[in-house]
Amino acid sequence: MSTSTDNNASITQESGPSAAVQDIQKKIVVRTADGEVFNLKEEVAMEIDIIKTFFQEDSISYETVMPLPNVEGWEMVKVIEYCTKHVELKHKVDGYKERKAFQALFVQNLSTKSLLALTNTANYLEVKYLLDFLCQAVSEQIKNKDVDYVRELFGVENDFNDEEYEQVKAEAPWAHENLNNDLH
Amino acid sequence: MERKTISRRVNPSPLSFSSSAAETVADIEELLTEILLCVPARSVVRLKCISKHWLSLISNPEFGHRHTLQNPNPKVSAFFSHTTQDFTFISLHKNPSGSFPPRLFVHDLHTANHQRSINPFKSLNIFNSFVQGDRNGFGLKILQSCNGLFLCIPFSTHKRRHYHSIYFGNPTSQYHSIYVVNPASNQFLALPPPRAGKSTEFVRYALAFDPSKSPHYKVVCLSTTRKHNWVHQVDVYSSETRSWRLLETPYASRDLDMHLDGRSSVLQRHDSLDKRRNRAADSCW
Repeated sequence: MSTSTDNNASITQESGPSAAVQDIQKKIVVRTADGEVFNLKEEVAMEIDIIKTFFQEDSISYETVMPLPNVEGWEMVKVIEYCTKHVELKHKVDGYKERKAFQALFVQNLSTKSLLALTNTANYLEVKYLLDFLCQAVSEQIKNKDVDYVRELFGVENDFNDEEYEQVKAEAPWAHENLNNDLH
Repeated sequence: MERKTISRRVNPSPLSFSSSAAETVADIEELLTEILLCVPARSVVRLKCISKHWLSLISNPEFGHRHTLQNPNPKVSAFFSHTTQDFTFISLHKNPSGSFPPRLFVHDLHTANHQRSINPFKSLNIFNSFVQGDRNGFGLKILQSCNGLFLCIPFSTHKRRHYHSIYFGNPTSQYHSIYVVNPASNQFLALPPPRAGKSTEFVRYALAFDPSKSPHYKVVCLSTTRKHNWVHQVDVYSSETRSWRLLETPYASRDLDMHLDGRSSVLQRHDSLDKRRNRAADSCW
């Protein structure tokens, strides 16, 4: 019975009597860029708009494995984790604290670069509330960092010459003090 | 706030876990905008220095307005006294260690104290516009602040004279502008003179600005002239029309107070039962 309440994505290896129990709830199968295959519960899959559109608009059978060439396996794991929690909390009346605790844990071991990759993915997959949350999480991580740090993080080239840069900086020197470049 | 997802670039090849993910975010203008909208004001101003693209994105008034709406109740970040010299500025922005920067006292001006916080008013472009050209010779007197906008008049520290904005009983004195200043974006505007007449004895200004209602602000000028008895006149400046208009015909009363709470102004006449006149200034918002 534990497999039917398993919230983690897993590579399909169903066999035996428990598989029959699982099949009562429909599953949608996707394959990520690295070839990994994921079994999603229908209600979780429908949280992901790109998947929802794929299957519902064109009435494609759930037998089809949907390819997601722009998504890495680890990203899919995280997205499924978040959406599953979201679905779970939908039915709870007072889930605020739980949601906050979950969100803190969710980003805890993610580097800023991973967060950015995940933000991209959430945008691609069209999961609005996850995108909301991730934009907020990225902003938390860049908010007190200096210009060089953020530039390097986003891979943006400095196209100001020295004079131009000083000019822009001089418009608001108060914004450049009290910064903290510690990596989380 | 519900955020609609953004049209995505079609990636021809799989996105591998590398710095290219960050670069893709930076390329998708709307996605980058959504992230920057969450960044607090002080930091987002700093990020103008990243590149020309980021500068134009963040300086865009549309972005500024959206940012204000998304951050409606910012914490108080500083206290300003009515003059803009260093020693009367107290910043509430914490150091990385979590402590507040030391408060400045007058004698600290003479020490090279690199720990002190920079008063935003010291670096304003507005000082470049004063004819005499001596930046250090001028200060700004802050009349009022409202949701990040400041109403100021300049004064000369050398000549110890206030360039007060209107005639002050001297019909030959020159009009000196009153300024609306936004220190966060380093922008300012010198208002044209209101219509108050030359024999105006007394004038008061007030600023009304509520970004949640409108990106525009209004300045109210209440002027008092003595003719047979006291005559009051209300002019309203709108940043939308960039001009003054007379609110109502002048009316006489000895007892007139002006109250402004940043959203609406109410003129109260103590000796009038005319409710229409009492609410006259509500129409100015």
